[in-house]
Amino acid sequence: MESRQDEIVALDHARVTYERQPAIDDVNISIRRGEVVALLGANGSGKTTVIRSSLGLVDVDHGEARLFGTPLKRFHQWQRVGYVPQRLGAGSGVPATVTEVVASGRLTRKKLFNGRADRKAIAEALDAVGLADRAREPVSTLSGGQQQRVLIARALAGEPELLVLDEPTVGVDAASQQALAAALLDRIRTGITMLLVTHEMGVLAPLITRTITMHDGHVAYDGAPHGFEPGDLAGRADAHCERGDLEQPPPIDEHPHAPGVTANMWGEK
Amino acid sequence: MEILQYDFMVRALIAALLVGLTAPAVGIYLVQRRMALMGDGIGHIALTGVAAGFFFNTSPVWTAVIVAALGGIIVELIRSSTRTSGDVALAMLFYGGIAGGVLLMGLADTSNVNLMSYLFGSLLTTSAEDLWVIGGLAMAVLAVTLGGRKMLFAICHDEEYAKVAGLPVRFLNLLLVVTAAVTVTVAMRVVGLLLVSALMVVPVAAASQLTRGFMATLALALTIGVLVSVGGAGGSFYLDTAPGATIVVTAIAVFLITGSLAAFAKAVRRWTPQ
Repeated sequence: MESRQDEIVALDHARVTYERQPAIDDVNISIRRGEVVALLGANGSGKTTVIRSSLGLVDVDHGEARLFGTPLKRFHQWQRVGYVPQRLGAGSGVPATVTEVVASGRLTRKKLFNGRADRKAIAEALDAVGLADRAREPVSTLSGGQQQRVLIARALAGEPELLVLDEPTVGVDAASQQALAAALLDRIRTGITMLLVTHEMGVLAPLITRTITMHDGHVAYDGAPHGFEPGDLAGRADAHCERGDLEQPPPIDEHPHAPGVTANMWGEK
Repeated sequence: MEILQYDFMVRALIAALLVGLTAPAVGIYLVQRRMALMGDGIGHIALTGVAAGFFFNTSPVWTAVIVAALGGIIVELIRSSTRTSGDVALAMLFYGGIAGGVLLMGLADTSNVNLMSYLFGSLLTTSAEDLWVIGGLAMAVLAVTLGGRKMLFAICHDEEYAKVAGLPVRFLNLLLVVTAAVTVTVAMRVVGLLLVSALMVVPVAAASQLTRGFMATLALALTIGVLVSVGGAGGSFYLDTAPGATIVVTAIAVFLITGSLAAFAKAVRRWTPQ
């Protein structure tokens, strides 16, 4: 058995059932320190369930979910985790400034009176996503892409070792996407581990070191992103720009639990 | 001032002040979560608690606190465990609370005057002991809502994020509803169970017309809460009107004013050349 020392996120034979319908079944995923993993797949393939179960937002009813090598039931070091949900809920009935929302990210640190460190972390996080000049504005007056960046800043403010993002680029304007990729690249250089759910990798493609494709509740592909050599950020960025590789036949993996079912990691063309 | 020559009026004004502070302090979290009517529901349930006090011949305030807190906990469990079907369950709980209260009051042979005083408040009959109870409970409510404001803000703003941040979300949710239940019983003396929710919601709604952030809204809502409660109670003395209703009508008037100010400011911004 491999050492769990470097294991950051793990699902072991995990099954999650919603109303008797398994959303994921027998999923094995192990993400190690420093990896930047894109979780791909069509709607309903189970990719969001993978991250929700690995964060304990839904319970696995069979198998096990671990964070930093500890089973979720016994895991308490939430300051090591930063979570970026897809959207801010239904919207709040009371206004909140950008700073107030980002400040929630410091609650993971559990020190209530740590004003100076808090203010510094909040300012740095806002700077990283390019919203320092909007700090005192109400979140509701920001565009969708800017709001997404606020949520990323909130996660970064907690100075996490693992960042989990659910569809960070959906509905985000081009300028915000660039700002977002830059902010994430910055954190990757410091050795952060990242797991992100996405429909398409878009501007984030050069950052990805590994892709996992979900299909019908199972892992259909798990390996290097197609067309890139893992571990070479610059090289991958160039390859991404040329993007000739997409014309090649996409990698086809046979489904381990359903022989004959094939999955295309780029989705249906 | 003439009004301060009467002991009962001084006690009434102090009670109004305490309620003006506490009701919006809890209400802001309910409004933030878009559950503005929660206070109303808990107020309905509290009536059964009041009636139970008469029925068992003990202090209605304490039985109201207990029943309202239990009701609040059930409401929270329904809210957190169901998505949409909880709606009907909540309705039953709320109507059951009013009906159960009226029924029990009948069995306990209490007069209708008593029932009315709890439904619409009886500020002027506040006794010195009442004030001690209201004061103690109000301090507890303020300790939770102001002391825990960062955590309560986080769970009401984005509950899932708060979970991943490692906050004790379930405990905080229960703490919030129990605090709301205590506030309802504190405020029932002043504005009555049927109007309690107004004092939780309206000052917050009025404040948020003018503010940009949560903490600013909290501060302004408490200020408005105190002004309308004390102002309404004082005004009712001179106008010879019901204090509870006067307070709530004053609060709504303030909301209309801040709403108009906000709309005016927006129009000015739109028409001013950049």
